Formats: sequence, structure tokens, C-alpha cells
Amino acid sequence: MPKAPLLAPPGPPTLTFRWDGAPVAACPGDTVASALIAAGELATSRSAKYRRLRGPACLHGGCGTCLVRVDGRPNQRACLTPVREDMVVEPQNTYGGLDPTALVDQIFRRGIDHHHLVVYPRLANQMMQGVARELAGFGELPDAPPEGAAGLFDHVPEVLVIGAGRSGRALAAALAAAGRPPLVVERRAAAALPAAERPARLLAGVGVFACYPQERLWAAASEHPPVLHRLRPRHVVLAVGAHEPTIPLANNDLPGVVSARGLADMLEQTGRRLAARVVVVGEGPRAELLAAGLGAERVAPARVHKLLGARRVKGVQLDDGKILRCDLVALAPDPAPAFELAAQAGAPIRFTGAGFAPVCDPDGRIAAGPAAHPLEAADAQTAPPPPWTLWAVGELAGATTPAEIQASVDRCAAALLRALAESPAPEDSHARA
Amino acid sequence: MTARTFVCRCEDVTLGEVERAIAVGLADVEEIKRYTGLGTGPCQGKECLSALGRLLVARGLVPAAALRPFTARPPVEPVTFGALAAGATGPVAPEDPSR
Repeated sequence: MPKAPLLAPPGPPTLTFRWDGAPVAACPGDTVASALIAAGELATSRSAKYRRLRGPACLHGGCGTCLVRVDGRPNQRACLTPVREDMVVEPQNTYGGLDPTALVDQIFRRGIDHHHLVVYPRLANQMMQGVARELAGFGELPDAPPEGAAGLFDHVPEVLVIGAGRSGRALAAALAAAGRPPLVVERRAAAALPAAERPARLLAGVGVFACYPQERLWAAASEHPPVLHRLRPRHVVLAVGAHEPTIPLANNDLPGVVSARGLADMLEQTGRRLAARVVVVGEGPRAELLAAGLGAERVAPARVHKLLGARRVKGVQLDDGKILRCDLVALAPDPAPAFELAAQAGAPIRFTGAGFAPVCDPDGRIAAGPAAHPLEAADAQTAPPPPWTLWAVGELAGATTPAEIQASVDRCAAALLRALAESPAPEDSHARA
Repeated sequence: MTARTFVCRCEDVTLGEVERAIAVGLADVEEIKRYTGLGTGPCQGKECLSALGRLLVARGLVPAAALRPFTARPPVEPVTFGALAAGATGPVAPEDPSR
């Protein structure tokens, strides 16, 4: 059944891929998620416990509900996967349109208390364990093992910038202009970045997945092609931005409930335009900016009674009973800094009121803090300090507006260049100035 | 479909389940994670952790200065076993010249 398109293409669609067996038209620059949303296909999976329909939500590689099977490989993020001609994309953890497991949501209307559910009688417990085991897990194994072993690359950059969003690109440009181009690692494909702003030294489609301070390295990987990158930088700039946390509203999980920031970025990246009615839920200047950018009506979360719809969102019911009909609900919460890599690197972490963030000075320099836990303190006494200086820019450093992000980048770039001038590269560094 | 308010969509943890955890006396991010499963799905807390933190602070259950996140263990991005295994063996290649 064809569905009404929600995003207009920037030009005539020239690509076709298969979604759940049916052809879907796409444009160069589309991700699987943008093409599916454009086509009105909003659900990509069912949830673990209540078996509710879920779809792309954060549109930013963070949330985990747009995981799909692509050309026989499970758990690919639709929002980060560029569309290729003839690719075969399938939903995960669903069993066609009429999913009998969706009854779980109806049966357990008062919620599932898994601490006590069907513990007795034991026979019933055994049966339920059997069913639960069948339901658990994500996707199914790949169709075929990977061809050959994964590649391995070692890098010893003077400066590593993690993230090529607004702040990462601007910082890389500032350092490059001073003759110190950094190595930039970005999990999105290079095509997702504006061509004029692509850093000179860029590992795109590569996600930094860990910092191992005791091994003195940062680790990044791509899946397609399978490659592991080991990075031993002298300076690390975390330009990893922020997550968009959920806003607790009734039915905030419906397909079509997306991040306003993610939607705005997706439109910018793909050149698509909204052809759908959107309601932004959020408050404050950032939510107002996002709503204005999307040309959407905005309501404060406190006014929302619930989101309406069954298989996809259809509207917003307000506390006064008024109903705002829409095709997409865009949530605009206060962003929560992506603190995870900083925490792994040993940065002191504090709660900002919106989320957790590393403690840094106005230039973004993250001081090695006192260990939060006695066991960590014991480690810190025996292990040498990590051989890098850690920096935070942009949203991770607390900036929210474009002007604040630019100011954060300017301060960090100036301080970093001063630090580089004060301590020239050691002999064993392979970094190219 | 039953109307539910989700704090963690990965593990289907509702606001009601978090309330139940608070009602039995749990008031800490780590405790509530262990009790409800919140934050243990594929997103590893990117969507729910700060939402829970805000809730606990707003209720006066934890002072903001004392609030701790749960441990952000690797991997923070998906990585295949194949790529991880490449780090255990294999020659060390020079810096990728093609980039």
C-alpha cells in the first residue's frame, strides 16, 4: 500500500532499493532512514519487551531503533547507511505486518514486572523462558562470514579530532589554517559532510568506539570494509556533540516521533524538504529555533497529554483536549553532552542539569581529575598519566547555539595552537606538521 | 495499543517502572539501571540516562552534585568481532596513505 510521502526530494529520485521486499525510490545523498521516512515508511523494528513498533528516532546514530538488515548484514543503523542502488534492506525482529507478538502490549496492560512474572508455577516458568529466549536478541546472523580478515592501521597524529560535526569541522579548519591539520575521525560517510568543509585528513565512516588509557590508545573501526584503527595522538579533541534524550510523554515511542535536531540535520544533509505536518515538542530558545527552522508549530512538554496513533504518530493531544494533527512529532529536549569517551579517558564528570559532561576550563582543556572511585584511585597511582592532552569543544563543552559553538571552537583552537608551539613533537611521533 | 510513557525505549522501561523502582526505595542511577534494565540496550543510555538523571534531581532524590552516570564502557559505537580481532594479531601497517 503506497503511503503519502513525508519528505520531498531535492530532485528526481535516481536510485531504487528494496525495503521489506518492495521497491523504494531514493536520491543520491539519502540514507536508508531519510529515504524510508520520505516514503512514509516509519517503522523498522519491534521493541524487546512490549513488541511495539519502533522506527528511526534520533536520526543521529545514537538510539538503536532504526537497526535494519542491509544486504545480509544485521544491525545496520538506517540513519547512517547511505543508500546504494539495488541494496536489500529488511526490518529486524518483526514478523510481517500482522505481528502476533504485538499482543504482548495488549496482554500486559499494567506493565511487565519481570522480577515476579510467572516465577511460579515452575512449569509455566519453563514454558515462558522458552518463548522469551526466542524473542530475545537482535536480528539474525549475517548471511555469510566476512571475506578475509579485517584490516589494521596505526596512526600517530599530533592532533586527533573525534567528530566532524559543526564544531569538529570548524576546529579542524582553524588548525589547518595554522599549518597543523589534524586527523579527523567521523562515523558518517564522507558524502554526509558538506563538500567544501571536509577536513583534509579525514577517516569517514569510522566510529571511535573506545579509549583505553592503560593501553594508551584510542580505537576506531569501520564495518564495511572491516578495518580497525589504533590511534596514539598527542592531543585529542572531543567534538562528539550531544545526545537528544527522550522526553517522557505518553506514546513517545511511536514511529514518527523523531529528534527535532536529527530531523533538521537530515534535511540539511539530504537536501530534502518537509512535505509533512510536524509538531515540535520542547521549550526554550533552542526548541524555538528548531521549530522555526522546521516551520513547525511548537508546544511545551507540560501541555502534552499524550501522542496519538497506533502504528505511527498521528497527532498530539494537549491537556485542554485540543488535538494537533501531524505526521511527525519532533522532540526538542535540552541536549545531553556525549560524555562517554571523555569518561573512558578518565575525565572528571559532572551533572550539568541537562546531562553529564566532562569538567573543562574555558578553553576546553579537560584536566585529569581525582578518580571518582577508590579502585580507580589505586589504578591512577600505579599507571603513568596518559600521553595525551584532552580537549572538549562545542556541545560537549556546554555550547548550544551556533554562536556559542563557534566561540568554543575559537578558544580551543587558540589554546591548542599555543600548546603545540610550546611543546614540539617528540622524535618518535610520525605526525605530519 | 496501551498508552505508555517510555524512559528507555531500547529495553522498554516505562516511567511507571521507574516509579515502581523509586517506590521500593531505589534512588540512584546505578540501582535503577540494575532493577529495571534501563540503559542496557543497544543505545547504552544515550537516550535515557540524562532523562533519568533529570527525573531524580527534579524529585529531590539525589542532589545534582552527587549524581553519577553509570559506567560508559566500550564500545560506544558498534564494532564487529572481526575488527576487534584485527587488533590482536597482524602486522602494524603504516598510517593509511589513501586518506
